[in-house]
Amino acid sequence: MSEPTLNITISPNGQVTSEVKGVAGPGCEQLQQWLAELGDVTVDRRTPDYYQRVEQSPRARIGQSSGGRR
Amino acid sequence: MSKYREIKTQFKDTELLLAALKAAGVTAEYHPAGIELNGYAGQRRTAHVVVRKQTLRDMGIYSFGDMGWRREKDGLVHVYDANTDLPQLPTQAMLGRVRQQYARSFVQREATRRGMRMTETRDEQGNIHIQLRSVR
Repeated sequence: MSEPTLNITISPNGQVTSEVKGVAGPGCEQLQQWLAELGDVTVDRRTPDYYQRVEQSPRARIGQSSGGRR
Repeated sequence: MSKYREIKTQFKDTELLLAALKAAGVTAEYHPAGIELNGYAGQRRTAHVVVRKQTLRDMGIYSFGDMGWRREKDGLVHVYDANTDLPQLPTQAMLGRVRQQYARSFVQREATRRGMRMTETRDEQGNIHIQLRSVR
């Protein structure tokens, strides 16, 4: 994934939109949490990336066969 | 992208508001102890940040009195003549400019506090686009 970036757009009437890019999973919350202090959050939406699993190191699986119940 | 948000800017910080008014070209006064504003039909209201009636009229806002913001525990309360001030299009345009500058200053301040690198552009529609990246 690319470098984490917080993109903010401020319209001429002061409406603010923000989106986090380059962060999979709920880690994006921390990046933009402080922005909520600016005012009233009117839309707060999770995008598909939010539900991506963060990569973890593979765990060894012991004693499992490739299929079927015993 | 993982999270999308929309936020309606609210004035909470006096310093940021004063800076935003100045950046938006609005002459304002600051009275730390608060003063009484001149209002319609002799109304008296208290404010700490004041935009005078003549300043409003110079911007095309027909107002009977001064406009201001009063500092309270939870933030700033907008003090205005509801009959004449807010419904006017020049008023909305002026407040929009101030809100945009306020939001920009807020982002810049917080980005600095958090050690984030900020880049900024403006498009033809007047939107400000900011990108923040961690420096560390």
